[in-house]
Amino acid sequence: MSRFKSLTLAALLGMPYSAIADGHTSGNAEEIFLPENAILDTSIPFAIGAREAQQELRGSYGWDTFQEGLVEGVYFRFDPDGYARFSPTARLDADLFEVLCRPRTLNCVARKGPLSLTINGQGLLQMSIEGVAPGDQFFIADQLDEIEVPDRILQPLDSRFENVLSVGGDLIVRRGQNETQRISLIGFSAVTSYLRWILAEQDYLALPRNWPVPNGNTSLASPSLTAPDAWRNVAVGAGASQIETASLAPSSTNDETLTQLASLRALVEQITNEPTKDANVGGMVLSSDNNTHAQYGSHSDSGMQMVLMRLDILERDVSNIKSTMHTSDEMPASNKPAGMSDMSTAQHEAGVTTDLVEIASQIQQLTEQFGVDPAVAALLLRLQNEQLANSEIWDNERVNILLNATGSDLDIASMTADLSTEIVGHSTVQRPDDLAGENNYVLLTDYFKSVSETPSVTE
Amino acid sequence: MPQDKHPRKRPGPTAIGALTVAGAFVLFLTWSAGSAARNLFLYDPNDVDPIIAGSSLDDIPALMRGNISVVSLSDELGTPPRVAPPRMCEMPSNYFDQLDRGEEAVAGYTPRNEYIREFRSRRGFLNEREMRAAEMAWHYFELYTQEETGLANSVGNYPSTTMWDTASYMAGLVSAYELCLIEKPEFDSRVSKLLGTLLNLQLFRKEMPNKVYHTQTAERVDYTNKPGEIGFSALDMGRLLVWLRIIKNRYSHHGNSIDAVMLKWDFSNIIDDEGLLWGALIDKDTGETVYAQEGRLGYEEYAAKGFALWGYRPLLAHRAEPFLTAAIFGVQVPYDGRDPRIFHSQNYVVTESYLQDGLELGFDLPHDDTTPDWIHSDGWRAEFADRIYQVQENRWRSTGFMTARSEHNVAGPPYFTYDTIFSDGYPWNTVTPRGDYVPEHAAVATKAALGLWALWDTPYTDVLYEAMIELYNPERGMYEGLYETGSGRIDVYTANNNGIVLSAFLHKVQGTILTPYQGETEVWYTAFRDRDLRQRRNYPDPPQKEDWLPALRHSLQQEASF
Repeated sequence: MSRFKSLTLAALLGMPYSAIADGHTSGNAEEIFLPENAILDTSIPFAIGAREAQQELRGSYGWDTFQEGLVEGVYFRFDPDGYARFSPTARLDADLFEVLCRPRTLNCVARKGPLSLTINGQGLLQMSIEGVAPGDQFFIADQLDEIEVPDRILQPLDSRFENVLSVGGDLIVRRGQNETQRISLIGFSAVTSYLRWILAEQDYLALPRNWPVPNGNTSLASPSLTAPDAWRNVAVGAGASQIETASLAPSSTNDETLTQLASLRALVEQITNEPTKDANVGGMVLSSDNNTHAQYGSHSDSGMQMVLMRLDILERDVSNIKSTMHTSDEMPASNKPAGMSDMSTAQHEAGVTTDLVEIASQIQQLTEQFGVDPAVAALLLRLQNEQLANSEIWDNERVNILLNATGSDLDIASMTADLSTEIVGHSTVQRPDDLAGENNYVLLTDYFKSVSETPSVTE
Repeated sequence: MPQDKHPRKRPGPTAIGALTVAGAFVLFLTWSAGSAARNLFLYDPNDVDPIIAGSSLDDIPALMRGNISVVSLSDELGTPPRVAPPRMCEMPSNYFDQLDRGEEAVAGYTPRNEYIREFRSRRGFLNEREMRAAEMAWHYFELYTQEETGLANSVGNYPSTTMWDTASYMAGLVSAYELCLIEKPEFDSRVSKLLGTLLNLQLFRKEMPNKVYHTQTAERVDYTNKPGEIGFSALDMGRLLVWLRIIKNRYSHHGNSIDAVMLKWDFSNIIDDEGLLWGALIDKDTGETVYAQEGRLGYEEYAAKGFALWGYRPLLAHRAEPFLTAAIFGVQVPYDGRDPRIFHSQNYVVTESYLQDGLELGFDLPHDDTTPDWIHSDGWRAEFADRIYQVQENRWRSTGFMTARSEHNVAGPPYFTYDTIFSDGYPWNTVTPRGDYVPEHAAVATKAALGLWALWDTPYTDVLYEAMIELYNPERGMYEGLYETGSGRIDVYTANNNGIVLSAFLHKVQGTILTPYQGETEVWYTAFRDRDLRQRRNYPDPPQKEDWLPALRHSLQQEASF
């Protein structure tokens, strides 16, 4: 039991669901409806077809708007404070996911019965189920078949597990032969996307591939000059939903990241040190009515070693970033090294300090000068790198000169801090190939090209 | 007995008819000939009908129209207007013995479309339990009226209010005085303070009072109680107008102050020529004022009557159409027929607006100042209200759920619910302001239960009474209600709930709360006659008979039986 409790939201979020709920419910209206508690702009559609509407307020307080819509077969409504409901029925009255957010933060919890979902500091989905005891078995069932899933679903979920749970059906908890809980997973995908969308401050990049993102939303908080309306209509790249979300979470700091990595390491080591138990519950087993089982996945010692190696790299990265931040605070802007770097792990190890400063400064310029979202800016810089590989004209030096020419005072520290979490999750940053074709938007390089060509015409 | 061998033949009906027509023809010829001869031989160019100034023939210019007397039903019928009843502590002990209750009257519509209900309201002195509950309800206002502004908080210690809830405070204030819970010095002091604040309110874009005000500073605020303006509500204003009229008619010494408040407001957009009511809000993108039709069946008509009491003619807003009915427990429950999917406004059917119409206006038309309490000149309103009552009693009888539904506050999210008899296509639908179905917040609303008890003297309302009469917190006032799920009391205290509870008690003692105006004319009608301000702000002339709202009945009602 203690193992499960240790994995509750309290450990990962720093506060339990009940605390969020209490904070949401026990406060006076005077505190609940303060403008500072509004974390969402309800005019930004969560999905195509969603609409902002006026709340029918008769009294003197409350949120005056909300947003409602239908996505992935579930209806939803949410308030500016993040409070939301997801349900397959239009009345939002049955099979309901309810989302509550801690006041003035982006920390939100979705709950359906005993099931609670949240996004942890690393951008991973964390699930907890009330009343679960050690030894309980977990199954995902549709009408015909059941898939046994390991109890690792109560640890931060990787994309495989999340995809399995997103398919729908019921999550069944069995103790021995007895079914102790059955929880509908309808709306699971929508609600986890919503949680990530909140963390990403309503950035569509946090949403999964093929999410029905609205076209040409002019009220987006940070409209991109380089992205025409069609940009908003593209299917967001695969993998952008998980780790990248963490990069958009503004609250992460390097120290917190290191702490969380240490926790994750402890967790992995704990799993590694329990071979017998893992052998029983760690594998993912398919079962069907005729009781034929087909194991299609398991984690081995070598896998765990890979994870631990990965953690080593991540911790080293974060430490480097910390030192970079310290250095960049004292570094004059003119001395900043030029050159764009790919953010691969190998290059981080080689010269992460100078690259990070450069990237951070460029990202900040893009965000401040052109209103590009930081995540989008990072993406565009990568796009540019790939373009540069085939370009003889737009070399790094020229781009940097151009950027410096339009630059202003840089807040290197804050940008680097933002970037640090980006790097933590660099492995899943979406590739340009995942985006729509080049005809759908103007590449940053093309934009720069057009800008730089203009003076020559006038001359 | 000898028989007549030659009986006389009686003339047939045809012959009688022919004789009558012939006689009439002769008379007509005689009159025509006489008239023609008089016109021909006695013609005098100076012989014209004199127009008496101020008479019906006089086309009075706007400058002078303020002095015309308001024409009420008592003027038309030549009957005496109702008399304001004495305060409860000044009533003789046999006051209720001589009261005309219309016990012998047959229920149904009269030829003038008045309606006589089969139920009677409760009348009599308050007993000890009721006095105690009234004291508790008034205690809310003692506790939560802000000394600086004279405004009362809408909800507990949250320092904001709307015009609707300010009207509820006025209801509590009048009731407390008439029930002898407070004396005249305190009453006058509170009214003066409140009117002074209303007079100096910063309006929404120089039109009407903002939707919400901070009660400690009287500043315009938004829904988060931060300084700002968000628009105005025609329904809130309608209720405020009802209570301003009640106070003005009952306490003439406050009349000029009330007129001064009214004459600060601009009515040019809140009511249109067709008689529809319009609220205002701010376009989020452009910042411009957006006017939107406001009100659905129930509230809309109640608010419309508030405007009519001040000389307006809210013809469309006062009509029931478009309405539909939903059969629930054998009762055709009327609801607004405007489709929420098109108009983006829900058609909540709740008890409250019918109660307020009954308690404050006696289900009467605004010009009716003479019919007894048991005759309701706004007939269909009384008849609809009977259905609203009956369906709730039927639910109790069929399911065992005590039912008295209204909008009410709840502790915790969503903080406010429309606990409806019918809405959005569902009976007994409890929804949040954004439309979520929250059956766990269904409740017996205190104000609805005691309002039903006051207006429907039946065994069922006795049950409601027993459930609610002691539902108070001595420290804070009447609880908002009792959860239907058995989760106990709604631990929330509001101005609206306590104000309506006090109104219900006042109605038991005095009957219809609105009393006739005692004066000849009003500053409201005479002011600014020498400038174009009246026209620009859409101030009305004193209403005449042709301005009255019509007394209607609906074909469906004639056929319906329940």
